[in-house]
Amino acid sequence: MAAIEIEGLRKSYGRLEVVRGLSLRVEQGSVYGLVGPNGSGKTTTLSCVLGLMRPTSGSVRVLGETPGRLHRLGGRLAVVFDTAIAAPQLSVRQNLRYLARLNRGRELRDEDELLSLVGLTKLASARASSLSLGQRKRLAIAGALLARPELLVLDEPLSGLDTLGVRQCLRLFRSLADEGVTLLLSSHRLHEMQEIVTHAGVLLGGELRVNGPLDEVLGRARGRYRVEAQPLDRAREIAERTEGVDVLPTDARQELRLHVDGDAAARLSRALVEGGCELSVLAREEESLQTVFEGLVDEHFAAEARA
Amino acid sequence: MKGSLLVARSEVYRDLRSRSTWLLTLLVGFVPLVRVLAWRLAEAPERLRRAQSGASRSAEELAGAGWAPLVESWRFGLVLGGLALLFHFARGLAGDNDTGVARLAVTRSVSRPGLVLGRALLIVPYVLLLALVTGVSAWFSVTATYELGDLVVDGYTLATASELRSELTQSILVTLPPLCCLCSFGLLVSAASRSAVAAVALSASAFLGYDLFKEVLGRKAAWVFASYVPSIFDESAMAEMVQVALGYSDAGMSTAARNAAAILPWPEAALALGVACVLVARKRL
Repeated sequence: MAAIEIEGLRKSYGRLEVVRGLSLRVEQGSVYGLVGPNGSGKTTTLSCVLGLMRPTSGSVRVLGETPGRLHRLGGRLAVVFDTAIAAPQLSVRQNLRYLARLNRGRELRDEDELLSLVGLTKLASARASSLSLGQRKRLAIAGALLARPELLVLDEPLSGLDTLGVRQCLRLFRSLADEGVTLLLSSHRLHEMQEIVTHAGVLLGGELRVNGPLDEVLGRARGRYRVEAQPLDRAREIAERTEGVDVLPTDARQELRLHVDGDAAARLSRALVEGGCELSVLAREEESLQTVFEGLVDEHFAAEARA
Repeated sequence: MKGSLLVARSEVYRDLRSRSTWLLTLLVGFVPLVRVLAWRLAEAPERLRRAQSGASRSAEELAGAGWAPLVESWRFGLVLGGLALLFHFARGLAGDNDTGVARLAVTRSVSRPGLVLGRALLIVPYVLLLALVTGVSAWFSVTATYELGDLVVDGYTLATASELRSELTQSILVTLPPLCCLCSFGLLVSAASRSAVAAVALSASAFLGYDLFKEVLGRKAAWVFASYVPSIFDESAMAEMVQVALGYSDAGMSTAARNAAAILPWPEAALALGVACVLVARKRL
């Protein structure tokens, strides 16, 4: 069963279309990473999903409810947006108590257990306004976990965190996923996202370019090679002529990006050397979200340039 | 409705634990005391003059001398306390939008109108609390130095203590509805604003601006709740009551104005809350 179902979501600000016909399903128990650069429409998408803004068109269901009626879920859904803390003038513990009063009918986690979970035990009596960005983020996460949600939506949960904070958060998200909590995270920190997500979607220019289980998404990076050779134009000509090799669009001026089938890499290497090119790098790219993302960005810019 | 109660409950929790709330309550509680001291100081030259001429006030006159400072200091507390409540309610929703708490609430257990109605539930208790704090402060400040007996001027009893008490009770009762409506207006401004600072600035300029220009409206001002709220250019029941307590008037506020002050603010407050609900329902959080 889907925790979140989005069908044909569109959102425009005046004539600017920020989200363009986005459709996706987040299955229950999965960890879905919505990745994309700044301004790609991640936050707008999440805002429409959570009923914080009205979409121009399209339909959204969150745990079976429409975005305007999410309050009826009564704590089954929790949200971490930016660095939202309930009351900067209250202490960390009082902030949790304030949020506890906004919950109805659900068994709440113990405050001390939560504070320990996010590493804020020592700061329980500190004023929320005195916390660092990372600590505020952890407090926001603690607040979100208060009512043991089934679905947790986090917008840029890792931004502003130091390395230790990132590791703590990733560990926390992993343990939540192990407990069966469905997670929808948006981020532009691809490396870290890859560590925890089971499904991923890449948003570019308001369109979901790739969407599916992580293995499937990473499959797009399979067979991608990077070539550095001189002269580059000659190398490009040879690559284009070589069977099983596709030259991919790229912004990089000192290298080529290729998609290479099976054993074509050896053929290409020979052809480049025999063609008089000075080959310095012919390397298979790592199968990562970063590689998939860069490939999509290159395609995106190439399409824009053609247009 | 349950969502509104949750909002009200959490707001009370936040207010009770906020230092600024206590500081403001203390400040508003001090205002009548300061006003009574100022009243006492202002009377000093007159007392000196009477003492020098040997024409000091009779014991009967002194027995009712406390009514005017009592009403005036209470009124003063209500003016500043009313403004504080206006800013408090104006800051609320917009501030929660600033900090993102509104997002947490509507995705948790509260509908968007519930955000407004939850706060609206606090209006009457907060206004009653304001009246109580300022009233108690004024009463203690006045009874420490004055007496609250019959009002006697030049040997004539203008009003007995029980008449004045009854008049004061009626005046305070018709002052509370406009104050409640002022808080609803604060909520409306809050719903319409994108930031807490903008909401407070807008509510202050609208209310104080109206106070400055209400005379321009002439008789039409009688239809606006703000005409009955204790303010700087005060035309409220409490301002009229000061005149009664000074012996300058024996009628106080007219019955028509009194009825208007008691009834008119309620539909206007309901309208303000309704519009605030619609605005919040359509607002981007």
